[in-house]
Amino acid sequence: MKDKLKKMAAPICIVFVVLGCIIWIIIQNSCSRQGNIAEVRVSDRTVLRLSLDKDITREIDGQNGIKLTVVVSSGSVYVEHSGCPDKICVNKGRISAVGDTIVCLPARTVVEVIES
Amino acid sequence: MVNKVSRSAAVFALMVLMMFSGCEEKKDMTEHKKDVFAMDTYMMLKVYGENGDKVLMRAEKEIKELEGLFSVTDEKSDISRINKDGTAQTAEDTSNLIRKSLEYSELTEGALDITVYPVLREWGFTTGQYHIPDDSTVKELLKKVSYKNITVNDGTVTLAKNAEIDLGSVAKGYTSDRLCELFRNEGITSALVNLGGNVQAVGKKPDGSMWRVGVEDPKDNSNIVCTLEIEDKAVITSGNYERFFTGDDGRNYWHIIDPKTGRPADNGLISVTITGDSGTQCDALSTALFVMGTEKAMKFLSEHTEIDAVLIDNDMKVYITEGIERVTEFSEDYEHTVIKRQETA
Repeated sequence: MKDKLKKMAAPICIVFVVLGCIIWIIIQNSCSRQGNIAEVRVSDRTVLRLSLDKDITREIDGQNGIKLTVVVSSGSVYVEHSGCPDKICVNKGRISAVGDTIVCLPARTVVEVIES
Repeated sequence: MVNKVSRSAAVFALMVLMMFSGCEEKKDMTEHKKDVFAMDTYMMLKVYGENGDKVLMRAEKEIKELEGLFSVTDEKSDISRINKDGTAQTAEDTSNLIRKSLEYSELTEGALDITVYPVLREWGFTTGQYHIPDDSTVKELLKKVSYKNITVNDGTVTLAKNAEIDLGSVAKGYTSDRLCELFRNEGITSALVNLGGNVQAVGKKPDGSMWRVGVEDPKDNSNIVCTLEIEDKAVITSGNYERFFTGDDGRNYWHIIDPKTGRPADNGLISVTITGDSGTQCDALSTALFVMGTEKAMKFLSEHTEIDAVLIDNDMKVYITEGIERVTEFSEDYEHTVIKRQETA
């Protein structure tokens, strides 16, 4: 019995360590990549937080009188319309990963995906 | 023996506990972030640790001060005074940055040239009044363009031959250097700044992992060509997709001007990403290598091991320096070629 346990000890430890690593990687990924909130900031002030779990459309008053339409749909967020001249924010498209941002420079507005 | 197995199990349980506690620790780390709109771009500053908000306030002040020195539109700035009067006594930051720019101009044989400003303005990239200038206008303006028209003596900067300067190709890199220096002096061990796409990191992420910075596909910014893992490094990209306009002839014209032709640099590369210890260096060399084009840039990189790079050419061929391969994750959609260093070639 002791010999059997002795033979099995090293493989068991290896399996545990590998499993542990896999669990760790999964946890790390879920910690760093999963986004569930869209935070909207105007001139560094948070004006809105939207859950990415619920489809919704909101109007935002950006700086310089510029209005933006922010849409949450199917777990991602995008700027549907903006009164800015260059439309870079609109052309950015959908974002959903933590840290992703949509920036409207003329409106001093940032939409960032964060974790709750 | 049973005790040994028990001990192994206990050690393993402890390891798992440490892994989980690592994740928990990340959640408990105090993140402080700040949006700053300056230097005609959006800047995101993130620091971790105590007093983060106070440090960020100082960082914003630093940015505004540097913007006040380097701006070409603010009449009171050092750069505006130099351009207007041909000579001016400047702040230490201004003369330092001009001196560094001249060093990179020499190093790159004029591929980086901060006196290209009059040509850049003529194309409308500094005013938003985009148009394609005629050849005679460009030829006339090019007479003013040469970094050799600049002299710096202590804090006094003097321009010859009606030259004018613009630090747009180096200012954000210099600013990120200064911010990281400020963070370190304030005891911050983990921070990331993104100044309009110019990224620079202090230390690692709070969970101990490396910062990950994606290099965008210049033809489709929803795709990532590769992801660089960095610690205490800057990552800065110059690309023809960042700021451009479409002319009446249907062609795109971008803001990186070749100082030799006075036209948007079109020498084979559409994106140049440089990573290294200094933001100023990465900013200057990303512009310079873009201007150089594929062959000259590859030769430069083979001879300069102090920086690493990802080059993307017109045909979407990707070239990467061999030093950075081991900390780069490639998307399967892009093939890459390794640029061998001279020492190991």
